[in-house]
Amino acid sequence: MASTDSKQLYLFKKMLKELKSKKGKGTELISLYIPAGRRISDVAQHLREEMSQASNIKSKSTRKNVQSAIEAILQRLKLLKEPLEKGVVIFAGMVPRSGPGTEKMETYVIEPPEPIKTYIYRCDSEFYLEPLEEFLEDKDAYGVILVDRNEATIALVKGRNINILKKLTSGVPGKFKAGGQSARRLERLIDLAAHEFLQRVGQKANEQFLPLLQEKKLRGILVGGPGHTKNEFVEGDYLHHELKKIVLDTFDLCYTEEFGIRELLEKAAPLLKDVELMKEREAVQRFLKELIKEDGGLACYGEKEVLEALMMGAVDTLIVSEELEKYKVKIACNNCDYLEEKTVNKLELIKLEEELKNAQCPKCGGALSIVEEKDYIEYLSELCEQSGAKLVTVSSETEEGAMILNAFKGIAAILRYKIHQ
Amino acid sequence: MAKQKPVLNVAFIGHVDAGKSTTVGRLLYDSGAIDPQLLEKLKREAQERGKAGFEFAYVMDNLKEERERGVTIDVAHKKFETQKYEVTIVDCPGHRDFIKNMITGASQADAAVLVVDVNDAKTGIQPQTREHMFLARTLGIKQIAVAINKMDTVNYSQEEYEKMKKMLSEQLLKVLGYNPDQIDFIPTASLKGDNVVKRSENMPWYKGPTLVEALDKFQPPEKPTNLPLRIPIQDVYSITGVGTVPVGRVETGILRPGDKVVFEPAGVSGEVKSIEMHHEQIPQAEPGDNIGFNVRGVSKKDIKRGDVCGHPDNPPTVAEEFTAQIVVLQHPTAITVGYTPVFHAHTAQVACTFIELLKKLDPRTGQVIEENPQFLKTGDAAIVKIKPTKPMVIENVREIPQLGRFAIRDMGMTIAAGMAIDVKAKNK
Repeated sequence: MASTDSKQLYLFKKMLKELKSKKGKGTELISLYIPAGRRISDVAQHLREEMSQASNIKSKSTRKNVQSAIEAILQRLKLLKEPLEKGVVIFAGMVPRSGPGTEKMETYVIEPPEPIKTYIYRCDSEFYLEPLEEFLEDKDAYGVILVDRNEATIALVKGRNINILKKLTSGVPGKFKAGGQSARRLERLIDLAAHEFLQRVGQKANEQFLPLLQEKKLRGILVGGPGHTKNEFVEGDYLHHELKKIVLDTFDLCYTEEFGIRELLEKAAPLLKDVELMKEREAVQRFLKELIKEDGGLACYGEKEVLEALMMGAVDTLIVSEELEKYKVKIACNNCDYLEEKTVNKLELIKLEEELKNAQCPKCGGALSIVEEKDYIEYLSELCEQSGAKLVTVSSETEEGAMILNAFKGIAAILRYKIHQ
Repeated sequence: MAKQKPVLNVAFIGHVDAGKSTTVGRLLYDSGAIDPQLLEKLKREAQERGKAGFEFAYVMDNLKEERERGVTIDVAHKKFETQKYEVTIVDCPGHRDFIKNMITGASQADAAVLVVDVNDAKTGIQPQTREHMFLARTLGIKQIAVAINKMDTVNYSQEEYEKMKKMLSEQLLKVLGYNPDQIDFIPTASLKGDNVVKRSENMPWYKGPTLVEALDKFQPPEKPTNLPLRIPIQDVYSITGVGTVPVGRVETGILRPGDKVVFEPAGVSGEVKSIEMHHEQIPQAEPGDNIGFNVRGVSKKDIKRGDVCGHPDNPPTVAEEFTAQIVVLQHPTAITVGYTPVFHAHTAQVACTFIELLKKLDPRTGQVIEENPQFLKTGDAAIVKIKPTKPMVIENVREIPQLGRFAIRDMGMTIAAGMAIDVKAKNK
């Protein structure tokens, strides 16, 4: 993935997160989805109707807020150029900053990553983000079925997540000691129980995967497990024939639980190359491999070290955790040319704002203020672009992501060459 | 019934197709524990399935699935008597897919017999030979014997035997801290019956003990009867007319009929009605006994493999988190905080997360070389903090050593071994 994609994706996600956190006092936040090709004049017409309807709202402040939000959108609409290729999404509303009376009109115009299909106008106490979130959702999912005679797990690998959909235990009897006639009988019973169990697994798998297949979201199915049971399962008439067609491969595994899925991902890596999860994994694994080399290899971690390497253009791949939540702030003096740069996290940012109210410029004693605050990952991605480095953002939900966040403070890099000989 | 001979649990371990099950079958047959008629029947069945020569293995592998493929899938137990012991044989699967079952089996053993194919001398030590020995060591099996099998395929050549013996001693046993001089290396041909029970005429150059004699050379296991009761559950059966019967090996303490017992981490309790070993009722079970016991008040659904049975006044410890000393045996990358592999302790298997790397130790001296290391790699020893993702029973190794050891597996291999040195209990 090119660093620009990764950056855009990250920024898009960040924005969604921000929008999600905004809550209105009443039902006064407006979300407007305009599909591709829709005439703006039509939209404006509809908004004006809404405006007149809004005058019936009883609560005085809500009425005022809704009307001014519609007003704000109407103004924004004038700035748009026709035709709208992918459509546009506009959010507007009075959002309280801290307590009552601190409301401020906020307007966001977003160009969606993919064309919008339906026109939506919604007025609620929060922004309506579901259609946008759907864009983020990875379309390509892989079904995973792990099965042996004792238990089975059905899961879905999608984007960055592994969802366990169903866990089954079989109750197939184990080894027996009885001999003679009973041995035959027990053998039959075991075979029957095993058959019934596989049927149950097939049924559950069909229930879970068929709807996905119809939505064309399922790219393939991977089957794994110890021994031969998985082959019996695939070859036998247990899966729906449509699903059977997309079974990509079977894998020998030691486990059939969560850790079995990990093992499977390891073995199926070449098949799943373009799944987001695997990309993260691959980058982190490469980093760790460098890390354990006797001389430290090409691994680099720690904020200061990584930054230094970035400035030198020595970074090949930069791995950053999405949970970093740090900001790069520029503090300037209002009077002289004093300028200070600081990296702070979210909590510190609020504290810093408070502090600055009373702080004085060390040079001239004037008042200080924040002139620029920038998301740290955005800042890093710019540095990456300058030197042509690859940026990989890892989520904190995956094991690899957690390792980067907890063990390496969320930032690590693979270098092009060794800096310190 | 009074017990005359001490009980010894012996696990048969080794790479797939080394001949573990066949050796066990031969052992039982030649010592008279199996009816010749039954063997005749098995022989016919093996031929019908096109697996001639597997008749001895069929003695232990009685699942149809196992017989069709000629591969052991789950552990099997069988009793037989030697001069000195009442031996419970634990036949372990060798195929790499079933290592989790092998660990369960090996965790019940006092001693192990490693079975290897003499032809491995040409290709090098097989991966599961190595892994099984690692695991045996981790699980605390100190006494081992080696059966160098399939001697008939190399014309009973002493030269081949010596080669194999040398390779195993130098490349595996010494590395793991076993002293090869104290281990019996027995050249066998299980299929033909050489040196298993009967001394072979084909190998006059071999003066050492046969396999049965080697078993008698093992020391009887210690019986930690003064420790609190712990029985890791291997399996649970529900028998019509009897009720729920958990099966497992008593690790420590004593169990008697009438005892109130509790199963952790399931948290259910019940009363023991009767105890059986090899289909015979016994008045009390001691450490080392592989028993099935009938419990009233507990259903089959409540408990499963990996649970541990104890007395309610000193129940098994369910760990919220624990501090452990580990040695990284092999890892392709690095272990850091957040890493979540599978932990195998007694019969339980639970994924656990490394939440803190406390100290890196010198593997030889045990001295601290680094506080709070950022990562661990192959060969490192360390003290770490672990958090199980699901409730699991683990004990402080200083209090109950039998339940304090564990092996760590990931990506289809055993990556580390260790023991719990401090446990933060959830239920105490």
